[in-house]
Amino acid sequence: MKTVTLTVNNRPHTLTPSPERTLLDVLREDLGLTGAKRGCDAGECGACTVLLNGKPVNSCLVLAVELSGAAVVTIEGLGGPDGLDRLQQSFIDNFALQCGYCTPGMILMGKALLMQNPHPTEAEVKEFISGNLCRCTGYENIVKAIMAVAGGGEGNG
Amino acid sequence: MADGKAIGRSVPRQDAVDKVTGAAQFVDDIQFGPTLLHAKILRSPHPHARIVAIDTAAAMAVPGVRAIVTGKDCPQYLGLYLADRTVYAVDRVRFVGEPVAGVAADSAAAATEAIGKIVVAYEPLPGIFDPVAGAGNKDVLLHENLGTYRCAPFIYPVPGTNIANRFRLRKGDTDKGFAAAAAVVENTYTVPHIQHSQLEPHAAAANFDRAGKLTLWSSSQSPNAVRKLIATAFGLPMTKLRVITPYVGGGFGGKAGLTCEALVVPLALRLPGHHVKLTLTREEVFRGTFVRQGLVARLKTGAGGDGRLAAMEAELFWDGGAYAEYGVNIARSGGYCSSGPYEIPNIKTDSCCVYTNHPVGGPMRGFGMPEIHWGIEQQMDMLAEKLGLDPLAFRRLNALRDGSPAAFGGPMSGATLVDTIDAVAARCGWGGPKPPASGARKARGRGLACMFKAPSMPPDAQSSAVLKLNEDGTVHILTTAMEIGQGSLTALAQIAAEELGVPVADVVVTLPDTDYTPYEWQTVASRISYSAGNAVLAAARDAKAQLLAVAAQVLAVPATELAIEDGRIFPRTDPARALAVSAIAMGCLLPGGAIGGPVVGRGAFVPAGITGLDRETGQGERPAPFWTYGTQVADVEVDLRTGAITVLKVTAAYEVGKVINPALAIGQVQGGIVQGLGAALYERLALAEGKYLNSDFVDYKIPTATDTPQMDIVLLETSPQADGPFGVKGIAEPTMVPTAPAIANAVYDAIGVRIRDLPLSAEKVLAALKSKQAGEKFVRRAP
Amino acid sequence: MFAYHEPQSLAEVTSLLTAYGESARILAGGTDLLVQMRKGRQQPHHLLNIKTVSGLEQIAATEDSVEIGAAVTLGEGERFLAAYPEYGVLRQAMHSVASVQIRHRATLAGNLCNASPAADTVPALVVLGAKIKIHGARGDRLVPVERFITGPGRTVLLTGEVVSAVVLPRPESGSRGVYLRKARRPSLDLATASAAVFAAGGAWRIALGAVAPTVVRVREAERLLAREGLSAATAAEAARLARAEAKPITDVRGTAEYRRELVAALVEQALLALGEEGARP
Repeated sequence: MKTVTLTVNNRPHTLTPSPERTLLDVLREDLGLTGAKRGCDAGECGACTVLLNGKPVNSCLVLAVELSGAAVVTIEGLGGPDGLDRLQQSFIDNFALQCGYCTPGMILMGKALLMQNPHPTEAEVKEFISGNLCRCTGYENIVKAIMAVAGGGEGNG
Repeated sequence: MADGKAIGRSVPRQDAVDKVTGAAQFVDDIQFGPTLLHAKILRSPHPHARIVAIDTAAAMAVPGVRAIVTGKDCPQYLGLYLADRTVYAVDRVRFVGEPVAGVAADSAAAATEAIGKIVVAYEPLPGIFDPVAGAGNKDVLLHENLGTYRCAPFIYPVPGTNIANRFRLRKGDTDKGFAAAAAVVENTYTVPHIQHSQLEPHAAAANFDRAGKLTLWSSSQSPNAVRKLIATAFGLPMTKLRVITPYVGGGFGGKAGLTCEALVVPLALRLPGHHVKLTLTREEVFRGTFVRQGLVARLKTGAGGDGRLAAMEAELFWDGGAYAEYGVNIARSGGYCSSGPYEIPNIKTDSCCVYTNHPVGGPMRGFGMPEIHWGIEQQMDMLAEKLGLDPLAFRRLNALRDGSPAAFGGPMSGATLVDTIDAVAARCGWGGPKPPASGARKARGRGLACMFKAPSMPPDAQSSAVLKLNEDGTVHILTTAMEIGQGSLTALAQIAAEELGVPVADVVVTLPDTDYTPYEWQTVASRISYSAGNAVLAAARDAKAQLLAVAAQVLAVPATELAIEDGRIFPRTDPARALAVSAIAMGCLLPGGAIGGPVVGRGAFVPAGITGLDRETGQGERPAPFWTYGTQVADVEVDLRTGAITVLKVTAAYEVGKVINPALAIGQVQGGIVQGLGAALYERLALAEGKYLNSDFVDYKIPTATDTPQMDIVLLETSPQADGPFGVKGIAEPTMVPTAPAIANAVYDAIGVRIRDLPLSAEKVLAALKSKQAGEKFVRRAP
Repeated sequence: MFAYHEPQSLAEVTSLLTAYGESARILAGGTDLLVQMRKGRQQPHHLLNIKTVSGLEQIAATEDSVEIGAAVTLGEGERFLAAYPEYGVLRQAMHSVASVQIRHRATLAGNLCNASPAADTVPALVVLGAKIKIHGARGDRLVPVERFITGPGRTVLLTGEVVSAVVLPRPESGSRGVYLRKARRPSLDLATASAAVFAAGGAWRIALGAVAPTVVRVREAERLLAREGLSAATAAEAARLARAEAKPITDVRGTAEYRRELVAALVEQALLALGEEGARP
């Protein structure tokens, strides 16, 4: 079986995943990183979003065997109890979460957007996160949370 | 009620850090290690069929398979209000997706392979696919043994039919009422099945340890109901069944009662020492868990020349699906609330929950109210138009007010619909000029809808709480109320902090674990802030009394003259002489010996004075503790070329007695509006003869961020609930009730087209518009 | 279960495809294939990851053409084409596909090879006159996009053949196009109907998506516009012709009748948008 060396949240890992296993499977089951959620297993909900080489992808649609040399960032790589990322804090301050299941994906989408476009319009934020479903919040506070960080300059994450 | 130190403030969510860091664990996040086994379920491909034989031999031979169970392994009937279903189908399947067998294996792949090797011989049977036809069909019966099923005393199945519950309401004389009416409108409205679409798929895991104790991890809104139903079905004492619910990724009713938990139990019982985990796929969530019941509502409503409602008749056919164990109560709630929030002197309602070979209809946000208001609120607009009245003024005139007789009898109290109408009218500038559309071939419209809703629950739905004071003065509150996103952990902490006089940051509410947390009926019916809130308030009062008794001795001041604020106890007349709560949390050692002891508060609550309703007339006094009222106005734009509706803005007002946490309450309204928008524009589980045409997010569309309208939300506190903690009433469910009819009324305002069957898909709107234009052309051409 | 391969060259892809035949599938973005496999609709025994073939991730712009490698994602394509306004119609179509996350994985070639009647990029490629570069045992061949897809899920690819690039000819300067679609929901949804229009010099091309097994050209409307130019009247007539040309089906996403209505509305709207754009200084 193929051996894959990659970094997840800046830590190197060497894995030998069977070919059908996805990045999401490996994160959750092998690395104990359960922040990325399985919502549909079909790329329709965005709950499993992680950053792959700096870009957001649905980790349920990426085979782990393809990841030689890849750099993956999950929600667990974004800060911790001692220092939250500004966007994480903004989600808290703006009540941008309810059940929390979509939250890791939403925050990573917000990070990805602000990396490529530090000052998006509200419409750009909405369009960018439209591949991430949330059934609780109605999205308004999520958009506000991302806009609040965009308005305040660069994130520290 | 004035705001306090904790109450009325937008305190940050207690669970927020867990949820933004990925620390929050949901059932599927628990890995269990080497004892983990994966469960997969074989489900029926037929809407209705007899099971002739099941052969599991080839499946058992798949390497890694540990156990296979079928219906005959656990044939006990169970159900929340009506015990009409088994864990796995026993000799018959009644919907596509019904569990037929369960497999536990070392890997998900092995379990899946085994599922494919179970051979089931079915003999297809004719089905019922329409609740109206099903109600009258005595040849095809889904439950021949309906008369023998155990049921709650207020549920009335009709044996020998497909009617799982029939609720009747008779008030006044509708014939006389209609005879005197100046305007009568009569229409049929339909509401399709929709799916809750919580982002977290249902999951359950079970461990039967070698000492004979079963532990169940469940993504549930109802840990105590899960325990009770499973304990009963499997003959376990509650000391041998522990239900743990970690965070739940959205409920909306779809994780109430029993969902997938029972499926893993017989597997776990055969595999002591293992953890058998089942996480549903998205497709299974659509096919195998509750859906919102469909409804066919025939409504006839009349009003006098004075604009007052005179009479109404309602025939409500609820599509209960294959099993109605929980859904039977929706027919009752929809029945006794069938007037909507209006005073109508003459009413005749027949509300039937009908078995069909459709997926199981269960509770969903609003519990019948979004469904009945879909028709009621369009009837109101039509009547107002016929009478030449403004739809807002017409509703205002007919609104239930304090002391008004309700459809079910007894005088209403706290009836604040008018307050919400006035608030919305002021905020949105009702009656102002219509703004221009954004472009050619587009039309703007504005529509209004009102609502009311009560918690639909048994008259004795209980709550309880335990408050533990820790050595450092911080507080743990144990309840089995479930955090499903609504913010109950935070709101309950605020209630306790306010009463106890400690900082809200020092209060932590734990998640349910039935071995340790005290009883809670269920986290449903928008009742947690009210009911569990009362239990928490009582527990805080109890703890406070204990603290004050000790402090009185320590400070040598009567307890009645002491106050607690910010974690300090002091004489009101001498605040400087303060004791820290932490100093006496474990009692106090005085020169004469120790006094007090660890402070533990207990609180229990059951609403008082909830009455039943007469079986023949539906008349009673107070079937529920309170009603929440609300009004929404929708501003829409319709694309005349494609029929697509854009909801531009929703203005909403709700009267909630007292707001514990404004940000959380407004978050409920935002989420409810967008969920209502989804139900209005997109959502429909498409079923053809019981088979699914859409059961994933590819073809079942819920709103995304680009659908979110501008929202202007007002929360009123004009009528605090007498027995609500700090005056609280519920808010979570009412938020989505008026959105769809408000949008429908706005579409009518925009293009003069009435659509009576949900959803208002672009295709349907365009077809209606074309047929209207064709009709107009015909009229113009006619001599 | 399947075996996973990382071919390093097109020749290796071809030899693996030849060896494994029908049991092999190309893995490019995987955003469609993996879902199909999970649903049991495809059960390949061999997956050939072509992202490991050197060169396929490149976009090559020459005087005559822009060649987009088979492993180029929609997101990369979109960014590259931002500098080429004449390809705006394709850029809009790429942007219409699914979500940001999907576009970071899914490839233009994959969208094409799936041969879905609702694929967004295909009508745009058709109006641009794109050609598909195919590598096989006997070398490369170029096939016009209109001939590449033969039906839902069917292409002209023979056993052993693989798409290596999509070739966009350079249109004359000042050429412009518009892609419009309508789905049930504004975001992340398959098109119920779509239309691409393109004006190059005095010539017009109109292609419709999701209203027939393969993309439909509305040649009569193209000739009308070439003859009489773009006006409100010719746009309306083109819309009528598009409706007549469409041969849609009824499914859970829309009825045939509604698709005809939509495609007419989209063609008219796209033409008028092109007119307005052209009128701007």
